[in-house]
Amino acid sequence: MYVSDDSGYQVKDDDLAFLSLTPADVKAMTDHQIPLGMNAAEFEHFRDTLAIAATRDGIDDFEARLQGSSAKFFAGAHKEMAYERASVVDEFEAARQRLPEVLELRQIFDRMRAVWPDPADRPKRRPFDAYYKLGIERHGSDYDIQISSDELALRAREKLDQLELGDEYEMRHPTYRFIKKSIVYYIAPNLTNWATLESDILGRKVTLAVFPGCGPERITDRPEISSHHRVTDWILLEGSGRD
Amino acid sequence: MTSTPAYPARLLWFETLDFPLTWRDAADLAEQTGIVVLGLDDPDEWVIGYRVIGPPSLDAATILNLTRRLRLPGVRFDMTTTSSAPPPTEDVHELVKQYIREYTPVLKLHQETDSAELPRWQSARSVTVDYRAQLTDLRKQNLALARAHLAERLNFEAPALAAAGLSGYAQVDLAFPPAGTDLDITVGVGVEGSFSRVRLRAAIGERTVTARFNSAGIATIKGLALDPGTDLLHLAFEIRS
Repeated sequence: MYVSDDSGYQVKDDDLAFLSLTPADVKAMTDHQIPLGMNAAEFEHFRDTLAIAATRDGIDDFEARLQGSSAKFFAGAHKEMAYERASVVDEFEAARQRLPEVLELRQIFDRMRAVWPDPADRPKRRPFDAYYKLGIERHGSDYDIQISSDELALRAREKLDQLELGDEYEMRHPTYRFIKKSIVYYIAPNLTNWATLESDILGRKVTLAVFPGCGPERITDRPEISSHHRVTDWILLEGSGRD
Repeated sequence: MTSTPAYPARLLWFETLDFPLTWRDAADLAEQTGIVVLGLDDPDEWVIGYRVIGPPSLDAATILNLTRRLRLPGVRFDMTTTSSAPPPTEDVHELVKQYIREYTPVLKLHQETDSAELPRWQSARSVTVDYRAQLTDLRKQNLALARAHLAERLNFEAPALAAAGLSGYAQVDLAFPPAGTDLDITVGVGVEGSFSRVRLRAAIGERTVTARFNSAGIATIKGLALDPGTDLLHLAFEIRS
């Protein structure tokens, strides 16, 4: 057995073959050695250059965690796999801003039936790269990097103070609570560049979500989207000034 | 007092595009400027595309970022660098400016009087409609009638687009801005292919506006003023020779 989602669905060899993964890839992921979609050399470069970017941005109190399906095989509980025709079309339209062609939809369902022929035995959550492999999404799954740093939070506040924006301006995302990426773009240019350069090298989007030092607060009313720190999280890196 | 980045990024230049991009536009953008678009479908992402200029290293990163805009529609092109000696970016700058020029569908009134541009465009037959008789009371059914009438007539002229290697059908929409009496016209052409050689011309009396089609095949003319001296609106496809 490899991993399972919260419905109890256990990943099978056929799933791995469909997702172009090997049992060794999954073990390296569960051991927090290499994220899915990278090899060892790529991950070493990924982590080393992340440390350099943080140094160049002048922050040493940070902690970087890898979230999402590249670290856990399945995406979070708020991302259910779509199997019904209408919901597949919804997902396709959301990803590509257009309706699928009849041929595209037929191919998606052909692939789905080939890898998960039994509707009673299918993953409830989205496996890494599943939507890309099915043909719903244009790109493979991304790398979600969660950065927690009081220094960056203070810098964001100071940036807003320079603009004479008081506390009434909410600098954090209303739902996910990360510091708005439009602000991070200015206060952490090297981390932003790092995400861009790694996206280019890996051919997958690398996304940054920046929080105050204690990380995201727990979202109690919608626990499925809460990304608060957990003991099982994959900690990629800690700054030398981290308490 | 908080710290600042030890190695800040410098902005070399920027441009803005006032219209939102679609994935179809992203393909054209990639082809014309080399920008890779990755985050278009995620409204929470700020940087939605990029082109790395020069070596992909943090200490000499010169990157053309495609970002969203805070409260305005469209996107911004930011050429930033952390290098003390960034590579030349003038060629990329020209590509971006050219893309913006070609993409922006709304041209200014009387642009046709630009004599340098006139000989290059040949008009197909105009489609003419008496807009005033149908539109002055702004009742919905009249607008719908005008749309249907124009669409049918313009669709009839759509084969003229074959001269630009296109064929298909046309859809027309008309609208009056809430507080004004000017006319907004949107024409969509239901064909695939490059629209770089096609534009739409609309004229009421002496007032003429041209608009280029974007990569989705849509040309939009905003605020074409009505003319008390005439009842006729002329629409035509024009092909660049």
